[in-house]
Amino acid sequence: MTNRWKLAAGVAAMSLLAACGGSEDDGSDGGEQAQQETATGGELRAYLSEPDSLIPSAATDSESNQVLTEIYRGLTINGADGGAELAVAESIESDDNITWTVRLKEGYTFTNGEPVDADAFIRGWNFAAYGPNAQDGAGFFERIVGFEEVQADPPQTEELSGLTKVDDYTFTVELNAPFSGFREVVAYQVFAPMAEECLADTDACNEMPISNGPYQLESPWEHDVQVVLTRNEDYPGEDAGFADRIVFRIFESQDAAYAAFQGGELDVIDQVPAERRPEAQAQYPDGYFQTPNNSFTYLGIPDYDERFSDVRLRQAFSLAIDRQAIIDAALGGTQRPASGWVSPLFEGQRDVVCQYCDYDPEEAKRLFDEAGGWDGTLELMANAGAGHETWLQALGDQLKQNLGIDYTINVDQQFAEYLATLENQEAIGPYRLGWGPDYALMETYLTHLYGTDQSSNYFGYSNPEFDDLLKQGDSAATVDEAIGFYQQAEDVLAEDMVAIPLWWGTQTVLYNPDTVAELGFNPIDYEDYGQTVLKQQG
Amino acid sequence: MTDPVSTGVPAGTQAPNRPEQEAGPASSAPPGTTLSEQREAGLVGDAWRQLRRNPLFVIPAIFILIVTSMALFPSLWTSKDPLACTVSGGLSRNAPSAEHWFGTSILGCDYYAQAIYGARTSMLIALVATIGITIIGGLVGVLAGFFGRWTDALLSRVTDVFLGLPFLLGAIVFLTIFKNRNEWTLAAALIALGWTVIARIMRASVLSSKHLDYVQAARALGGARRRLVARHILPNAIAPVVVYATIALGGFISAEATLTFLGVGLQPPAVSWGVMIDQHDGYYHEDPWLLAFPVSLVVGTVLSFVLVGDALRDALDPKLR
Amino acid sequence: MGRYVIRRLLQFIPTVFGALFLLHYLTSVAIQLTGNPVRALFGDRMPPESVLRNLTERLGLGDPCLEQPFSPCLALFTQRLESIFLHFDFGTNFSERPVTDIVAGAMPYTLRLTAIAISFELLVGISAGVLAGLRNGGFWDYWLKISTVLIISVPVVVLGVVVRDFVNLSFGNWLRGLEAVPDAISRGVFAPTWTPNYPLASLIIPGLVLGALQLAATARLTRSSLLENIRADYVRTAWAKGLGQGRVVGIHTLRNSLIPVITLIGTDIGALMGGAVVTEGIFNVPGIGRQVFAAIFTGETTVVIGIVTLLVLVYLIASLVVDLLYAVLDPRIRYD
Repeated sequence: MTNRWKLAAGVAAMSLLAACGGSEDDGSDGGEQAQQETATGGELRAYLSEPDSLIPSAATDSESNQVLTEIYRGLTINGADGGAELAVAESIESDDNITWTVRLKEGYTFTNGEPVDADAFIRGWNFAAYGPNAQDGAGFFERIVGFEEVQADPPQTEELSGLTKVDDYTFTVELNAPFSGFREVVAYQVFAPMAEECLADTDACNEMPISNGPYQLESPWEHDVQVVLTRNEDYPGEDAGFADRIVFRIFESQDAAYAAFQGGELDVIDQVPAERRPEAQAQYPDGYFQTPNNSFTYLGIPDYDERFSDVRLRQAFSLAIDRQAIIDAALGGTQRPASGWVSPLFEGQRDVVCQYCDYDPEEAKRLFDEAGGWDGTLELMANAGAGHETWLQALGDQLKQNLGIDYTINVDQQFAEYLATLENQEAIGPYRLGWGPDYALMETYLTHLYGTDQSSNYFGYSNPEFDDLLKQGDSAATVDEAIGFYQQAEDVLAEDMVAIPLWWGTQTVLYNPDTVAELGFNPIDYEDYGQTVLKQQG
Repeated sequence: MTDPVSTGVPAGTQAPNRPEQEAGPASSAPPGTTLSEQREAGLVGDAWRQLRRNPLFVIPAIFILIVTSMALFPSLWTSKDPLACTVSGGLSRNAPSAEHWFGTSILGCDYYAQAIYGARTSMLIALVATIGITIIGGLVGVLAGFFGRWTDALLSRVTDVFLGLPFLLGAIVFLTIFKNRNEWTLAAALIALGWTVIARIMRASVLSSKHLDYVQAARALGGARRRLVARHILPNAIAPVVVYATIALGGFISAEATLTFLGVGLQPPAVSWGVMIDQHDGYYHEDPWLLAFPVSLVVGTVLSFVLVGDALRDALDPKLR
Repeated sequence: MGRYVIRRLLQFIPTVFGALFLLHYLTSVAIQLTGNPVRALFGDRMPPESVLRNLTERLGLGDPCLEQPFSPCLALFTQRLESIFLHFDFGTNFSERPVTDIVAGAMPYTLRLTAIAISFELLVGISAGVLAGLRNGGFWDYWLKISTVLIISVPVVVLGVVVRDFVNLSFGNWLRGLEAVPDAISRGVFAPTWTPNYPLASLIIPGLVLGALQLAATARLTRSSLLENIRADYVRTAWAKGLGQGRVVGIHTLRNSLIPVITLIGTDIGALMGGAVVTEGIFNVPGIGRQVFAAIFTGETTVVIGIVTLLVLVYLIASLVVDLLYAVLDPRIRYD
């Protein structure tokens, strides 16, 4: 039984995909014939695991996000092509990317009748950012002026000084530093507005949200059983939902959910157990939707450990890994072998950057011997409870077979402890980590991971040439020019091999083609059930 | 899953296992066996003669011998290395063939070799756990029964706490404190949760023997306490304990598989039947034999231990002759 | 009788405290050795320091003793006892839902599941045991022995998954294709997993799976107990009086033979509810087993302590009730 670890919805905070090459819709084979005018109605039954919370600022997991996307509307939403589209906001403008002026559309109301106005947003954001409220999503407000003060212990003030109400439907947001991705970031649910009645009793609002989106809860959240939504008929936006009802059935395990799908209890399931995906694909050829996503998995080399300092050793490791074979055997064929350090969806990404990522056991052995081989047992690490042990073992077997290294695997630490181990540079062998983008510039895959002393640089890697190229890119006049420098920086990584690219991720959704006509989907939130069209009976 | 041990407990051992308290009715009821030492030899001989003729003893006993030999001498059974695996070249999940009798695992290991070497881990855990519960349970039971009063009250409450913990949940909670899980931690968890029934059997047995005439007589003659326990009281308890331990051994093999499946047991690249089941349960629709082989071995072994335990009970309990 | 019950109830107190402390200690050590479980809520993003601290504090895990390996955290323990016994406050899970609410929401499902399992054990287990007992050494006897032992030999995870995939799914899908079969059967009883549309009907098969584990013990205990009694003098007398088989077996023998069977079932209620962990997971029943299982892995100690202590209490009460039932069923027994 694989543990249910909710995907942290960090990816949902990223932005600007549309500006960078657009989303790839190649996996889509959903019915395109749906006609908008007659497409409303019906009941959609979807898989969900128990959400953390239905208070937008308290919920940063993907499960909560799926519900909140339907019941709340923020300033912008993620469009089908990945770019942010205005939702409750009439306009969001700035001259300097520091002070943003937000004008709201009038006519939006909460389900209790309160208006969705400037106060509603300022109220919600202040609640989210205030330290003592301990909201999971507080970190997303760190760019706003005053965040330090409300997070201090004890807090110096209760409100973000960067938020200023101009009139009932206008407010300004002042940021700490220029940030052009503001429109995209506020599409994330933690930036939702909040009704006064909700603030007065957040516990009640969690069970029966007072929301402003195209759907609303029909009845209070039945924990561990279901969350039932009905279409909000008073919703004024153009992105009203299609189905009359959305029933999120809550499952503890993907395995049980897949059984329910096979038995006709669910119309759509977005987490098919990896080992059953080939079977699912064969069984439901018309309902299997798979598309690349932005996740990148790599094997990190402890650069601080001088046993790994010979770059030929790392290159040999990489050449000795038959990525496709591991993916087919242990990952249900659902990932794509990575040959670079940047996700294929990003502008400036090149398909083959890494010359050492194709399986070549002879060359691997040659480089390995040249580098002087390896003494002792190699420890491979991954975090516990996420099913990594199987493929990690396959990877170890390949190193053993091709290079003659004995290996052990260490998957004892849960994620929090695992990160701490890496942070303290206590890893004594290659370790697994993944990365998701924060914004839609290829640099998001580079600086934080490999820049000297950066937050996620667990390798202890420092290469002045790499740092210098990034700096040149950051200060380049145009994005195109910048990308040229970033690509050169990526080439440096390809020589140093401090991170061995393993694979790029895919998102899989399985739906019942007898009941679902067209699956709503955007590359940020992935499936969007409100925008999913059902086949109409009769 | 309920307590893998109590599920298999046959009638004879249930009797002393009643939730008796000091004043409870059950403590006055004699346990299944009340034999004097002199008859012991005769009893064992009788039992053996009876067992030899019982197919429900002989067949499972042979099976246990086979599995034990796999555990002790795996190289007799296979020359392949269970950890020589590769997923390259389409070696993952191959169907059984002349070269790979049980096919290959998802990671391309020889599945037959894994099944053989898996026996060692699974049997080791079960055996260590069984010895552990017998020692700890026996000790607690004898102390409680023999000294009575405060010792008994204290030990009985402690027993109650552990008996009241649902076996599986208790084991999971216990195992989450270990970061590095291996055979020994698993056995420790099984012992921690499993010793209570033996303690109860022992205690009841000691309590009832204490009042028997020959024990009273030995006491009156000034027999040392230790001697009294060893020569007069323990032999009475041996039959139900042996029966219970045999069945528990089977239960522990099943428990290893279950705990590993639930993610708190062994981790690959350790090889055990539980790990085999855990790694392949998702594939059984496509390749049913991946699940069939380890499950058959677990079922066969558990079944054998339960049947042998049963047969032992029937043979050792003269009332059922 | 009254004095006996009071004494037994008094014995509960140290047992419950012992269980509470044991669970408190085990869960505390788990945190001491593996780190603050609240941090894991944030995934790979580092939360602002104050958010993490405030949340940890609010979830009752702010005590510094949770950073000292193997410290018994006695202050935290007294604090927990205080809120449990003085305010009936068992804390909350990480989503800040009170444990009392969680138990109240999940308990009914587990109770129903357990009730179905026990009815199944009683009905099928006892009938099979009687049948085998009356045909001692015959075909039925062997068949019963092998089949019941076979069921308990299959690891419950495998049994559950196989039943779900073949009975509920394959057979159920076939049923769902038939017009003649009412929905309550095809989408209720044979629903692939538990469904809120048929909350009771879809519990039946999971209940049978849960009960199947104890079926063997029940049947075999009935059989051997029947065998012992059937040779008893009073039964012989009954035969001699010329009473029919139905009367002899049904009234004279069975009544006495059932005493140990009831003990077995009574003392196993707690284990059964705990054992529902696996069954509830496989069939997605929203009961306490599923709750506590998830809580163990996320480190929601309050949920673990609350629910497992409750199960210990259930065990204690069930065994007291069983002992009292003894007196009812067997007039020779008296409690003074």
